Amino acid sequence: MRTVIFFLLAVSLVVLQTTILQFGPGWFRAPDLVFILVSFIAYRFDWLRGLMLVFGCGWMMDVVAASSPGVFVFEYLLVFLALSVLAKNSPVKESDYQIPLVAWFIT
Amino acid sequence: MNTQAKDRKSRAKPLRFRTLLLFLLILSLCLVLFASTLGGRFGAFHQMTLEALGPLQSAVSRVTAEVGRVWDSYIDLVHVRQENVRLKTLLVAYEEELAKYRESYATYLRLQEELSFRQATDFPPLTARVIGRDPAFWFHTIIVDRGETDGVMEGMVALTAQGVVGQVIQVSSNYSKILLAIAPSSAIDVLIQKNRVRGILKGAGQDGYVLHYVLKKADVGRGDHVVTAGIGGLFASGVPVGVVSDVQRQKRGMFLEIAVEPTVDFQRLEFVQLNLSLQQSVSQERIVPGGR
Repeated sequence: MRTVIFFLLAVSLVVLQTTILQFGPGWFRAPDLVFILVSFIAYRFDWLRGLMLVFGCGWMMDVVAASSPGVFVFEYLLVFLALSVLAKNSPVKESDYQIPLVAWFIT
Repeated sequence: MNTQAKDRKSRAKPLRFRTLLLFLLILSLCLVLFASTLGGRFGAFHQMTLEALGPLQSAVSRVTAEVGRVWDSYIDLVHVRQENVRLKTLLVAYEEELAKYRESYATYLRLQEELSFRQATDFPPLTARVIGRDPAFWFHTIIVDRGETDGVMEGMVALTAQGVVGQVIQVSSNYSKILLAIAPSSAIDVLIQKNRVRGILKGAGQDGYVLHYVLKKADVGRGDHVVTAGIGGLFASGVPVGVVSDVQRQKRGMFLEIAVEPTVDFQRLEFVQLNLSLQQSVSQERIVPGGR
């Protein structure tokens, strides 16, 4: 269920990224929402579901944005792998690190 | 303790190996995918995905465009309001400026007229500014800023380009009081310009003048010009005084009742020309006895 919800979220973010956020003024640097989602997936999902979601994100971005299909899939999968390895082998998941990180993020 | 450590090591080795294997597998999958899409191939699955995402993008774009249009309209409205306020302020400023220019132009015309009159007079004129009025008696006297030091004497005549204003009745060093010709105590010898019929013009206050002693048989009508007769030497002959505004023929009596409207607007007097010839004649009279 969570995977489906995140897939729909990914679809929404791809659509938002390629429509609304393109209308901002020149000085407005639109955040790469899909990239943030990929990072979050790498941090929260297991390998199989994470790979499926990230592949879906890359696929959709390839379709709507890439001039050469495959670039986004490759990029997102690499990012996912790198972040997954980092997240699973680092102590960041522990609450001792998370609380200061959340506080830093909020401020 | 040693046995536990050995167990951990023996479990960690296959785990690390499996992770590495998975990593390599995924990396090779990525490379295969990337290689398969090189060359710009846009396959059926790509097309299906685009067909699925296209309507969503279209809907969001349409809504975004509509919201943008509404926002732009709002911004335009705000700008129009600001522009409106600015233009209104500008308009007020320009209207004030225009009023100043109008006033200046009116003053210029008036002064031009006074100058022309002054240049055309056959007497030595002295321009005097009206500085005060007597409202209690309906403007029958005015105060001007010329007095004895300027050569003004009692009895001098005040005129404008429009006609007779009145006569100086009181003089101080620097100021004089003029009795207006429309005062009830004022009387001037006049003529109907078209047929030279004589009469005595008396002041009637706010009603202007009343012309007395014109016989009923005289041909007098509305619009006839009334000028000074020049009898007595106070006024030169032919100076405009007024225009006949009404003629009444009563059954009884010998004379007509004639109302005359002044040519001078007494309520808007700003400058008058004083005739200094009286001073010259008095001076000559004084010189003559002294010379003897």
